[in-house]
Amino acid sequence: MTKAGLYTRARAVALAVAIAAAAAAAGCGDGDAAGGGPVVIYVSVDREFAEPVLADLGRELGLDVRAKYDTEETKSTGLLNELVALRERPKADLFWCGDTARAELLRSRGVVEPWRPVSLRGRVLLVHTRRLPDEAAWPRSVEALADPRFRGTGAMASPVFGTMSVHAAALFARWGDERARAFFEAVKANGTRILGSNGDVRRAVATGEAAFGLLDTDDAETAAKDGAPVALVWPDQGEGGMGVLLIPNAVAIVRGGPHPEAARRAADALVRPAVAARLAAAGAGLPGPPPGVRAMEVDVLVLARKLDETRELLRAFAATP
Amino acid sequence: MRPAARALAWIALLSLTALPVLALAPAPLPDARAPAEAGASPAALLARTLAVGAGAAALATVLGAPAGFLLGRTDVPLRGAFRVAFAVPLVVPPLILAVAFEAHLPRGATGAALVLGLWLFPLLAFATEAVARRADPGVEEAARLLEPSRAAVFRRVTLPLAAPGIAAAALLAFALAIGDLGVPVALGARVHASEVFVDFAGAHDPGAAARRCGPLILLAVAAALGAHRLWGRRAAAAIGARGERPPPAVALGRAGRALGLAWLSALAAVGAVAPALGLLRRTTPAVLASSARLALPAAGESLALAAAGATAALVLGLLVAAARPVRARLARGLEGAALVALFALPPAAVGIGLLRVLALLPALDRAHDAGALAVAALAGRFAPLAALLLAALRERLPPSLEEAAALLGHGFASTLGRVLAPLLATGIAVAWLLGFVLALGELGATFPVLPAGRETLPARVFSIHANAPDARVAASSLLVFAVAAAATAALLAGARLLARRRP
Amino acid sequence: MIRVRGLEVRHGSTVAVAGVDLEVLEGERLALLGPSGSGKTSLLRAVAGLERPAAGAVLADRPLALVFQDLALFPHLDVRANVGFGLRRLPRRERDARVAGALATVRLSGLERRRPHELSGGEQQRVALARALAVRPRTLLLDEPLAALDPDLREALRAEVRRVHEQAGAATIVVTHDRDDAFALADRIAILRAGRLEQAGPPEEVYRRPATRFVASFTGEAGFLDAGDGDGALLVLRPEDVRLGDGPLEGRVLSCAFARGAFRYEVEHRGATLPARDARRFEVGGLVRLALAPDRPRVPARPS
Repeated sequence: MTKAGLYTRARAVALAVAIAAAAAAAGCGDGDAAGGGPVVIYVSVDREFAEPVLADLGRELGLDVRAKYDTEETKSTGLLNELVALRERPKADLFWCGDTARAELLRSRGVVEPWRPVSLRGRVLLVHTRRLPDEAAWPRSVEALADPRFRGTGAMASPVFGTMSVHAAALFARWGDERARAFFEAVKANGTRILGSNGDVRRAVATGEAAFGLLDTDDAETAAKDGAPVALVWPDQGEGGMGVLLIPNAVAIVRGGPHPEAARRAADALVRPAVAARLAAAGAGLPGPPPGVRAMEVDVLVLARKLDETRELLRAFAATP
Repeated sequence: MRPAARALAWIALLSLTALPVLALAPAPLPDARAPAEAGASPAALLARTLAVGAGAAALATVLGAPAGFLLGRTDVPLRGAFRVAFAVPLVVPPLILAVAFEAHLPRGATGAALVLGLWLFPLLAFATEAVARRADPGVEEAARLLEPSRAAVFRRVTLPLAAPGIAAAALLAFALAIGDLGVPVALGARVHASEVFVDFAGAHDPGAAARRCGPLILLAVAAALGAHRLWGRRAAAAIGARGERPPPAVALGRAGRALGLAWLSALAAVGAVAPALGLLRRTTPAVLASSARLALPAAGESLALAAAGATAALVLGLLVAAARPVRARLARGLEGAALVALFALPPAAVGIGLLRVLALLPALDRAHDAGALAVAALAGRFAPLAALLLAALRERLPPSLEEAAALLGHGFASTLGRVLAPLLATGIAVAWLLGFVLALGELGATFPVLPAGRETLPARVFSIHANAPDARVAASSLLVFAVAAAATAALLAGARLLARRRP
Repeated sequence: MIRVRGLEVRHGSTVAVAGVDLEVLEGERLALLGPSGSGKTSLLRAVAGLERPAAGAVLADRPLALVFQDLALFPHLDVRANVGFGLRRLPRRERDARVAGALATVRLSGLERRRPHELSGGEQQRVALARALAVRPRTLLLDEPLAALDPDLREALRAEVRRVHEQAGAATIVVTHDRDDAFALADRIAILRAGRLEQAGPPEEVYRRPATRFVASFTGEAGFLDAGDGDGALLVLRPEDVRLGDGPLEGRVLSCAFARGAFRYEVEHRGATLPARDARRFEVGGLVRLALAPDRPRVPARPS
């Protein structure tokens, strides 16, 4: 081979090696952030709000926070199921879950340690003020979804995932299986739209596609921030009404996680009131029960059980178009 | 040594592609505790998947085939510029196109078909151009003598001869369309790809995922094999065409040129310009800046992963291409069909399959954490493409070169290094660049196997799409668009540079 | 030496070489002559080890060198690298010496740095020969070495091939479809037809005593006259065996063409078309006296 040929070949090889090495360097390494090292957090809370909080947390504690988020479609259940599936060799240190019922489920199965609440969200109604200009005609209860007066104008998220599933479990717990099942049948018969997620419900109400919808307080906040003509209604506040379902987030340390020390530090930091306040300021949640609003009484253990029991039924409910 | 190298290369390739998919197969009987499968009945799901795929392929053909003829056979001006413009929608992940147009699209299967059709029209355009260029000029000249009307010649001769090639590209478009994950999820279309994702990532129900994957994989592979068969027939259709001589360009006349220009411009505008402008309008400079900051790690991740993936794909593809016996023609053989089929495997199925392999083989944990599984997914995804490209180029070389090297005492490795690689240098570089650009936009295969805390740009958009404020989603999508466009520009510039340096 | 026993080569269902026996001694030059499709290239490739025989055995002394019909010069390497390509196991100094020696033999010294595409056809051919020579082969195989060249160049290159062969002292097989090349280059000629060996022997023997009608036709102009034995044998008559102008026999001139300083005739005699050459001009269509040389070889009537 000529000298020229050798030279070009050597150059090509060197380039390839350099690229591969760079890629490998970027790829490998458990990183050694100043002092703390890595901590793997599975997050089922809305990424938009969780991301900055975790970034700050990482900086403050000197930890390399590696977060994994659920997608909207699989809200809460994706990561939960992964935690269960990989319980023998968990990859996660901490689970920041969007509701306490699921955290309780995991605790009862021994996947996580006892959880602690952080911030909370309420299940509220969002009303499109142009389609329903008369405040007196607004829906005031969750049962409006099955009310013939609001035929074909409501929207809710699929009760298979996310906070809607917790809400469904709460209804089953409160009303009993018979009445709850009948309610959901009626909802469907009433032409209420059953959309993929709370985000979809928010979009539908914000554009006026639906006149009202059932979603979380932070979704309502986002819609308002986007400038949509909407208003928030705390449901079931009337005499004898069941009250608003408030769902706190939960932070739970995963048993057998890879970095237990870092997990503990991160968990302790997350449950501080300052974090809840910050989330509230961002519209991501409420620091505590809102003044003047009656909350639904729930037993979290019962809720967790109902969540498990109603899974199959609700899947079938969501399945048929 | 060559047979050993060949076996090794194929074993490696299959373990990265077919094996993960097969790992989904031994699905146990439905767990007694597992809930009934949510979502539509299998028949409805299949119908929707077929509709999306067929719709996308049809749209891509209607848009792209005329463009291909215009580029390949006429004298419409600025052809080179249009080719560059058309590369953009192909390279941008279709998820980004969905985000860009989502306000103007119907949700569900219809919207998904429209976006996927827009994504894939350049494929049809380039394939049609290639087919049109290879046409035998003699056949058309003979036809012109018998049939004075140019339009009739086109209809009765040119088009039928080009049809198999166009149909092949349309079938491949179908396979790619039904395999995409990002678009149906973003637009709320419930098709196999999205349901499989929800089944596995959501319910962690490998049984359901496998059951749903099956029809999807079968459809994609069948379409790919059909495409392979038709593309082979295209070559046969040009009987007697020893033609290195391309057919003459058809002079369109002023009106024709204007029309052609309008058509191509419209396509370029919708495919390359409109998405960027639309996204730009939905965001603000402040959000753009903060998104850029937040997305920086993901950008770095994307580039590193794409580089590693492209390198691995290239090495594997080169081995597969070079280890073939010297005098065998790849493209029409069994290996060619297998490569096309492997490329058409739905990326989500491969990604989820790898995740399943990970669950079965704890030894791979460290590899997963290091991101090696994501590199493996990319390698498996794009090695077939590299192999097909390099094999086609190798077939243009006289087989006597490799035989001479063998007789002069050089084994497989030495011949590869001293003869094949230098002579295929341009092709190797192009294959790497192509793999790099495509890997940047990959979503379905990498999303499931990325370790916590590490994500690529498309994965980031996928994740924030549903609940981040629109401005931020638009900003992040715009960033992906910019990276893809920049990478494409680099690819084309690099290809031009290398082509010019050939002796 | 090269030894081939009962060699059979198949391409799919087609039989390219059907049971051939051959031997070529060290220092000997054998030409494999035959029309296209006769299996000569397949036979050569089988000797080189590029094709696996369906039956039979091949033995060829190593080192072995093959000069391909398309030369197979590496376009990305210069002449020096091409010629030295087979010498990579040698220490650098010896490799350089051999390369220089080979180039000197083919008279291309001074062109080391050129690339193949910068050389003429004849120069490229010589580089291919030099590359074969450099490995000091004991078996030398040449596939249509002169096929692509202009007639004037061919003569020069024939000398080159002979020189290279003599330098190497190898057992050499030259494959060609051109009988002039075969006759010029070979110690022995082997004629192949449809994969079978029709005849092998020194050029003179093959020419003067062809074993079959095919061999006779392929090795030169020939006319076939019924021998009159009753068993259907034919006499083979070359142009030099037919004398026109006087003689005991008579024939009719069928055609006349001028070539290389004399007229070439086809003369009809007793139902056969005989070739003849003469400096004089005879009328086409007219009668002419002719005489035939005695002791002409006989071949069976069947074309095989």
